[in-house]
Amino acid sequence: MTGAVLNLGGDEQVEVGVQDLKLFERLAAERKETLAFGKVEDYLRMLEKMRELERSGDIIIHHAGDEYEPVTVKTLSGRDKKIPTVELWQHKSCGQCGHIPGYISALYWILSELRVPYVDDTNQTSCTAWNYYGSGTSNSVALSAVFARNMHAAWEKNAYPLIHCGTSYGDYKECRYLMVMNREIRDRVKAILKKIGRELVIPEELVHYSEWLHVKRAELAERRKYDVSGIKVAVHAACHTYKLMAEDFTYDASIMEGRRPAPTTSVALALGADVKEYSTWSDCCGFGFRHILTEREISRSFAYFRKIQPVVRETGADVLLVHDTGCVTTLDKSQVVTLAHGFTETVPVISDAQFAALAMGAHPFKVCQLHWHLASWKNLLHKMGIDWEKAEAEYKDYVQRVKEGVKPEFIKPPPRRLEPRMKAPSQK
Amino acid sequence: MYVTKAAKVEARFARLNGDGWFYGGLPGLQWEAENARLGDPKLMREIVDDISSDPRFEEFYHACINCGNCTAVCPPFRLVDFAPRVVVQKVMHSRDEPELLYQMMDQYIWSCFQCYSCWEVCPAQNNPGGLVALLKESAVNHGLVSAKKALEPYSKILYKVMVTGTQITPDMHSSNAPFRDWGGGKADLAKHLKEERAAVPVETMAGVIDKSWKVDESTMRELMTIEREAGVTEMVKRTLRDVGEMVEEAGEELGVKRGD
Repeated sequence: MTGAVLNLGGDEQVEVGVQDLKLFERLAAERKETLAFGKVEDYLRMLEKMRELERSGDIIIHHAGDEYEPVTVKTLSGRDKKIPTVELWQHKSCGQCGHIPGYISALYWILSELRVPYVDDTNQTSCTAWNYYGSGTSNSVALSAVFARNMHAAWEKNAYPLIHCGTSYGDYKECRYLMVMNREIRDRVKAILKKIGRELVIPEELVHYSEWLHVKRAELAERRKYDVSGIKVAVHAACHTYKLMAEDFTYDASIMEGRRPAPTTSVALALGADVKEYSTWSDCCGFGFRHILTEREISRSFAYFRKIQPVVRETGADVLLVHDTGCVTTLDKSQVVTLAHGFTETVPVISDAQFAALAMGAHPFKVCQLHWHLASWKNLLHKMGIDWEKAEAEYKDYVQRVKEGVKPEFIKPPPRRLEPRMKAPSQK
Repeated sequence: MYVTKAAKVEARFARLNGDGWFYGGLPGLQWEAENARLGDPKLMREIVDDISSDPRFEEFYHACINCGNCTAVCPPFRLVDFAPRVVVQKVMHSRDEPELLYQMMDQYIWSCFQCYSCWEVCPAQNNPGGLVALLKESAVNHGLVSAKKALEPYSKILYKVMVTGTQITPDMHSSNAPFRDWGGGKADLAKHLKEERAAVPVETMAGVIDKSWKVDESTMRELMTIEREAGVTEMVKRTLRDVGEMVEEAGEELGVKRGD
C-alpha cells in the first residue's frame, strides 16, 4: 500500500509506504523542533522573556499593533507572526543603493501605488554586519547597539521597521536574541544608548520586505498590467533570511508544499508566472562578503556554475528572482566574465519587487532602474510585452532633461496617518 | 636509511595527543598542529579563551558527531581548502590543544562565506559559520598579520561602513575603481554616473555619490560613538591602524571624542 508520493524537486519523485511516511514525518517534525540557537522552544522562550522585560520596564517593545494593520503568517516554527502592512520605516541596505537602485525604487513605487504610508529616513545606518560577517571587525555589543539605535529611530517616528536586506534581517534576529537572553550584553547596549540619548526599543516582530510583499501579493496581482503567465521564473532565497535563525521566516503550506520559504515564490505565483524548481535551489549565491570584493573568482565561479548554469539548463528560466541585495549583485555581475569566456547560459537577475513593479506597469528604467543590471533583461521585457526600446528612448530623454536641470520625478510616499512619537535628538 | 619498525611505532605514538588518541578523520591535522605549536602559546590560549567565553559560544557549539552534513552543503568547500566539519572538530579539541585553532587563523577561516548553510543542516545544532565569525573577531582583536592580509585589500569599504553606515557607493563605479570585471555595461554607466544618480527617483538617494543614501551627520556621530564605546575602533586599530585612525579623525570632525 502506497503512503504518498513525495516530490523531491525537478522531475524526481519517490513513492513511500505508510510506515516510511510515518518515519519521514517524525524525522521532519524532529528536524523542525531542533533548529538554530537551540530549539524552537528556546526561540519562543526568548519571545516570552521579551514580554517579561517589557513588564519590568527593562525594554520598550515596538508592538506590531492594529495601527500598523498587521496580517498574520506562519513561520517555520509554526508560530503566528504579525506582518505590519502600513506606516513602514524603510530600513535600507548598505549594498543596494550604490549599484542596484531599482531594488529600492521599485519597492517604494509599489508602496506608493498601494497607498501605503512609509518613512524613508536619513537618520538610518545599515546594520554594519558587513563589517562583522565578512571581516570580524565588529562585536556583539556594537552590532546590537546599532540595531537598537535604528529601531529607536523607527519607534520615535512611529513607523514600523521594514528591513530590505537579508543580512540585516538575520543579524537583527541574532542581536535581538542576544540582547534579550544575555543581561550583560543588554546592559552594555543600554549604557551606550544612554550616551547617544536613546532607549532600548526592540520590535515585537522583525520583518523582511519580502514578507510584506508576500502578504500583499493579492493586491499586487489585482493591479497587474502585463500577462506574465508565459514567464518562467526561478527563485533564489537569500541564506540570511531563512538559514540564519531559521525559525522566524515565513512558510506557507500552499506555497511549494511548505518545503521552501514562501516569500518571493508566492509573489511570482500570485502574479501568474510559471515558477520552476531547480536542483541547487538551497545553494547560496556565492557572495561570501569579502570574496565578492577580493576573491572574486570564487564568488563568480560559485554563482555561475552552481546557480546560473543549473537555473538556465534545468528550467530555461526567463528571470531569476531574489530578495537580497548581495544576491542580486553576485548573481547578476558574475555572468559577465563567464560569458566572455564562451559560456552561453545567462538569465536576468532582479528582485521580486522589481518583477512585481514591472508586471504592474512601472517604467523599466525610470522606476525599476534596469540599466544598472548587467545580465540582459531585453528578452524578459519582450516576453512580458513591454516595449523596452520605446521605454529606453523615454528614459534617455528624461536623463537628458535632468542633466539640463529639470527636477527628477521622485516617488512620493502617501501622507502618514500616525504622528511621530517624539522629535529625534538631533532635531531638539 | 630504511625506517625501522621501532621508528615507525615511535612516529605513530607521536601522532597521539595527550589523551592518547589519533587525529582520526582529519588528514594532515597532526602536521598542521605541529607547525602551529611554533606560535606563541599565550596567544593561542587567549584565542581559545576569547571564543569559549563569548556568550554566543554556548549557542554556536554543542558537540560534533563528525557527520559532515555541514561540509556537504558548504559553498567554499567546493572551491577551496575549507570544511566546516574541521572547524567544529578543532573547536571541540581546542581546550586541550589550542594550537588547533591558531592553525586555522591563517587563511583557513577567511574562506568561509558566512552563509550559515552549515548551521541549518547540523543535527547537533552547531553553528560552524558562527564559530568562524568568533574566530575572525578574535583574529582582528589580536591584530594578527593574517587578519591584516585578509582585510587590507578592502579597507576602504571597512572605513565607509564604520563612518557612514553605508557601503558600496556610486563613486566606487568610477572607471579607475574595482569591479572592472563587470564589463562594458558597467563602464558605460560609469561614464554617465552623475546624471544616472541624479535621475534615481528616490529623494534620499538622488545625486548621492559618496554614500548609498543621504545620512544625517548626527546619525554618523551616533554610529561612531557606538563603535568607540563598544571597543570596535580600538579593535580595528590593532589590525588596520590607518583605518581606525581615519575613523577617529572623521569622528572628531563630527564631535566624537577619541577613545582612551
